[in-house]
Amino acid sequence: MLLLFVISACTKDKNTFSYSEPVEFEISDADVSGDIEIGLGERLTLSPDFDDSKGDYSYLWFAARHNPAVGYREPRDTLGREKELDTEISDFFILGEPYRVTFKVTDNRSGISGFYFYNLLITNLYSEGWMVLEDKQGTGDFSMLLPDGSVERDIYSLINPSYAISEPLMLSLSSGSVADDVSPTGRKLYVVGKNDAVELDPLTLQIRFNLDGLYFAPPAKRNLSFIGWSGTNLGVILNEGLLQANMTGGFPGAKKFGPNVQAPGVEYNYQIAPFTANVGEYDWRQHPVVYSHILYDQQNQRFYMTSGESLDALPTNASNPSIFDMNDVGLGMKYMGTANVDNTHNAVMYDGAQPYFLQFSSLPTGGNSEITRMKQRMNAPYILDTEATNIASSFQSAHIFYGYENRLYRYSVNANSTNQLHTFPIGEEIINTKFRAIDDNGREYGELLVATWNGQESQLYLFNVSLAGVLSEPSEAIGGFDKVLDMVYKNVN
Amino acid sequence: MKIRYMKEWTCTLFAALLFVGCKEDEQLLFDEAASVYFGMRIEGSSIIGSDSLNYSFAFSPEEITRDTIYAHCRITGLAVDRDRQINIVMEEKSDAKKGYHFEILESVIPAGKYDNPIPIVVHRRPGLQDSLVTALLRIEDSDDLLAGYDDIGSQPVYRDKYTRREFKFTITDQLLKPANWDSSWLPTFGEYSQVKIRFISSVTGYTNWGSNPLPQDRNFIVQTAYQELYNYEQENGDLIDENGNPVKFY
Repeated sequence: MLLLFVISACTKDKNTFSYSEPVEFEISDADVSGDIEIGLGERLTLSPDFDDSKGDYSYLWFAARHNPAVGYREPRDTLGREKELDTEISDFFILGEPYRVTFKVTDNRSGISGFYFYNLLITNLYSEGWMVLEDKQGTGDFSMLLPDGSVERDIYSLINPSYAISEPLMLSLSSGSVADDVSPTGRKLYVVGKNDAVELDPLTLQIRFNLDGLYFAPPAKRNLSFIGWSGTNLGVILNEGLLQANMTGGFPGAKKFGPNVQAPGVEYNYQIAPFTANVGEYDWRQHPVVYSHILYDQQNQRFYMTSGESLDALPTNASNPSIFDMNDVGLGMKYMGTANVDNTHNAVMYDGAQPYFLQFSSLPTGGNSEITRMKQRMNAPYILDTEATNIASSFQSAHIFYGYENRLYRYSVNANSTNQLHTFPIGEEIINTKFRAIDDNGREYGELLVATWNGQESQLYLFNVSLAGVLSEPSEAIGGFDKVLDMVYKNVN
Repeated sequence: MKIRYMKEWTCTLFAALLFVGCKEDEQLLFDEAASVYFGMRIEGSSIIGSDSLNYSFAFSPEEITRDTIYAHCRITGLAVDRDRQINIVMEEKSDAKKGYHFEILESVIPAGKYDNPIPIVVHRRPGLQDSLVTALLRIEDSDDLLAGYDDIGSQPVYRDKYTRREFKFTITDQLLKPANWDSSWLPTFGEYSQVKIRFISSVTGYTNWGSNPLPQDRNFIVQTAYQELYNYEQENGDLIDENGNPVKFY
C-alpha cells in the first residue's frame, strides 16, 4: 500500500498549465511626452508604437476623469476600437478637468491585455497666453496674446459684460493651486481696480466674486494697491496700504480675507509696498526655520514677516547688520521680485535719487541664521525714474530688466553695471516689462514681454532671453492695444 | 417493518418542518414597550445633543430676557400615529427653579416621529448676575413612554458625566473667565478682564469662548478686535476695565 502511494506521488501531474512564455506588451509613444492639452471640439489623434505583427490583437480606447478627488466609478467614454485613435473631444469631457486616456491591447488567443496611458487636460482658447490689462477710458479690460502669436481682444468685457472695473490697476495670478473651501481648488486670478476687484475662474474667465465676496466682512473704505497670493497659503490684499490676509491650510471651513493686520509697535501706521516675497520649494529637513512671507513697510522702511495673523519683526539674528538690517532698512522700495537663486529676492530701493540693490533669502542656510545677502549702490541709470511695472527681475540670471522712455536696459547684479539692450522708435515709451521663465521639454530660456505707448496705442514686443541674460532681437510689433497697465502669463498648470 | 416505520417518521418530520418554515416571522426587537432617552442627531457635519449645556446671558444685550435651549430626545421602538408624552422631572439636587429660571415646553414625541428637540425656555433673572444655577433633568416613565437607557452608551459622544436619562444645564448672567483663556487667548489678548471680553464679544460677535475656533475664524476675531480697540482709543482714549486698568491686548 505504501509502495503504491510512493509510486503515485512520482506520477507527473496532469495540470492545465501550459508553461508557455507570458504574453508581454511593449507599448510606447515617442510622439507624446507629458500631458496632452486639448480643447473641446478639437480632434485627438494618437498613434502608439506597438508591434502587432506577431499575433492577433484587438484594441480599445477609453477615457475617464483622472483626479485623486474622484473615485474609480467615474463614467468612462469609449473613444475607439482601432489601433490608432482619431476622435473628437466631445461634450463628455469637462473644461479644465484632467482625464486619463487608456489604450488597451488584448491578445485574442490568451485574452490577456496590456495598457498604455495618456494624461489629457481639457483646455480652451483662453487657457494659456499673456494676459494684457488695458485702460479703456478709465475701465479695465484685458486681451490675450496667445502662444501662436494671435491676439484675442477685450476678453473680460466679452465674458463679463455687466461688471466693469474702474480705475484698473493690475492683474494677479497665483503661482499655484489654492484650496480655500470657497471656490474650486485651483489658481487664483484677479482683476484689480483702485476701488473694486473681481476673482475670475482662471479657465472660463467668468467672475466668481467681486471684492465684497472675497472678505468675511467687506471694508468700508477701499483704496486697493495689491491683491494676490504669496505662495499658495497666504492671500494678500493691500487696502489703504494695510495688510488684509487670507490664510489657508489643511483645516476645514471657508477661508476669506479678514480685517487689517497690525504691525509691531506702530499698530496701523504703516504702508506695505505692493510686492510679496515668499518661500518656494525647499527641503524642510535642511531648513527648520523658514520665513514664508516677507513684506516691506514703505512708511517705516523695514521688512516684516507674517503668517497672516499679524505683521512681525524678523528675528535679530536674521540680519547681518554689516549688510543691512531687515527690521531697519532705512530706504524706500521701488520694486521687489524673485531672483535667480532659489528662495532669494531682489529689491530695488532708493535713498533720494540714489538707487540701491538689496538681496535677501527666505531661508537661513547651513546653520547660518542670516538671510540678508547683498546691498549695493546701483549703477542703473533712470531706474528710479521709471515705474515699478516697468522693472522685471530675471529668475534665470542675475539681471534686472527695465525700460525708460524708448530704451530697454539690463542691470547686471554681479557686475553692478547696466547695458542698454534695445532702443524702440522715438515716441514709443516703454510702459511695462515682464519676464517669464520657459522650460520647453528641457530647453530652458526666458521671455521678456515689453509694452510701449505712443500716445495712441500700446504695442507689444517679445524677446527671447538666454540663460545668460542675452536678448534676441524683438518680435514684430503686435499693436492695437489700449494703454497697457499690467501683463501676466497664464497657463493651465 | 422497522424501515417502513422510519420512512413514515421522516416524512412526518419533513412535513412539520415545512409548516414551521412557512410560519410568519415575529417582530422580535421592536415588540418591547417604547422608551425614550436623551439622544443624538446628526445634522450635516454636526452632532446635535450632548449630556449638558451651559447657557450664559452675559454677552446678550440687555433687552434679551429669555431664550430657548433644546434637549434632544429619542425613542427606542417604532413611531406611532399619536403624540406621546415624555415625563421629564428635575432632580432634587438642582438649584434652578422650574417655572422661574426655566420652563419645559411640550415634552412630547410627535406622531410619526422617532425624536424631537424638547424646547426649554431659560429666563434672565436678576439674581443670575452674580450666580449660576443648575438644573439636572431626568426622564421617568410616563403613560406613553418608559424611561430609556440608564447608562452613557457604548461609544458616547459629548456624554461622559450623565446617563442617557439625564440632561444637565446651567444658567447664568455672570461673566466668567473662560477656562481656556490662559491657554488659548492670553498670548493674543493679554490678561483677562470682564470689560475686555465684553468689548471683544461686542465687536466680533464671538461668544463661544470655551471653544477653540478654526485658525481663519480666530484670525478674524483677533484682527477685528485689534482694529476696533484701536478705533475706540482714537476716538475715546483708553478703554478702562473693572479694575481701573486700560484695556490692552499686549
